[in-house]
Amino acid sequence: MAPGSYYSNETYYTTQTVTGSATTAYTNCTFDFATSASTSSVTYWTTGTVYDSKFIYACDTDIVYSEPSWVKNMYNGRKFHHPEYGDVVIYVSDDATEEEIQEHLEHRYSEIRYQREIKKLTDMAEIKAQDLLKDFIGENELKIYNETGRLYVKGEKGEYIVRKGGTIQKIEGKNVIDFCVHLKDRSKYPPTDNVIALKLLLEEEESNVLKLANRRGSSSFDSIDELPLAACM
Amino acid sequence: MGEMKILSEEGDTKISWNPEKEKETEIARDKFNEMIKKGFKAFRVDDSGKKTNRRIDEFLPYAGTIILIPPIVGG
Repeated sequence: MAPGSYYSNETYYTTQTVTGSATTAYTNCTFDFATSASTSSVTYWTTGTVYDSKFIYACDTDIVYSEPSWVKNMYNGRKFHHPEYGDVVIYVSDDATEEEIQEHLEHRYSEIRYQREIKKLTDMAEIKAQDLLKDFIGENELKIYNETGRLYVKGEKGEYIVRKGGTIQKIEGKNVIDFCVHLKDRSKYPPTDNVIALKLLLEEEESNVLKLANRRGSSSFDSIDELPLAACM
Repeated sequence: MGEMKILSEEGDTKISWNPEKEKETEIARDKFNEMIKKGFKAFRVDDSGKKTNRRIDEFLPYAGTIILIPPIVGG
């Protein structure tokens, strides 16, 4: 695939190859953002899915496509509309032939098809993971989990909020303490698999989980809107 | 029937066996041991599925449902 990145309104895709460990490479990635007027580079701390060496990161951004900045500096963007793929901007020289433009477009469409296929696969894995979680917590709690992205878990001693995609918050009075702990190679797994694993481990081996977890700070319970709802379960 | 759910990239991978059938049970046991060697942890789940109970370190043919989860790390 050609270098470049693009977005749908649900998922950020990039063709950049990601290497390294989940905690270093996948959580601190710098991406080029293309807007109608300018280009900016943004560093994200995030979790995501790596599929076929490509990093997929869920976001709500509605930006459509980004070429590497050197391409955008060299050529003007030309927008084309496709009935299935929507508006697509490609960067080609002003004197490009019709054939070259078509070739470029076909390449872009194949990228979109490829990314959609990846998204379908990752969505299917997440559905399966949520089915399994539902076996443990029931339909009502699953609904709250999907609304808040958090699951309340009662450990052997403490109470926790497990966040979708991993990491936990320990409830202590009116405060929550953030801990970073997750599945090894978590980016390989659907986010809810992380939640299932942490739920099972906190219920059975709370002290071992806390030994492995890295404390990241604390905040007020009241400052996190979704917590009271999730914690009511 | 016994069932093993191994958390995986596809959500989970299921393996079923009839504990009365030696060959099926053997295949399931081998898979269980393979995953434990890789650092996975096994949990026995009761019939209702709602309450999880007891870590297990050995394959139990009559355990009902077993969930295998990958190792965790601090981030």
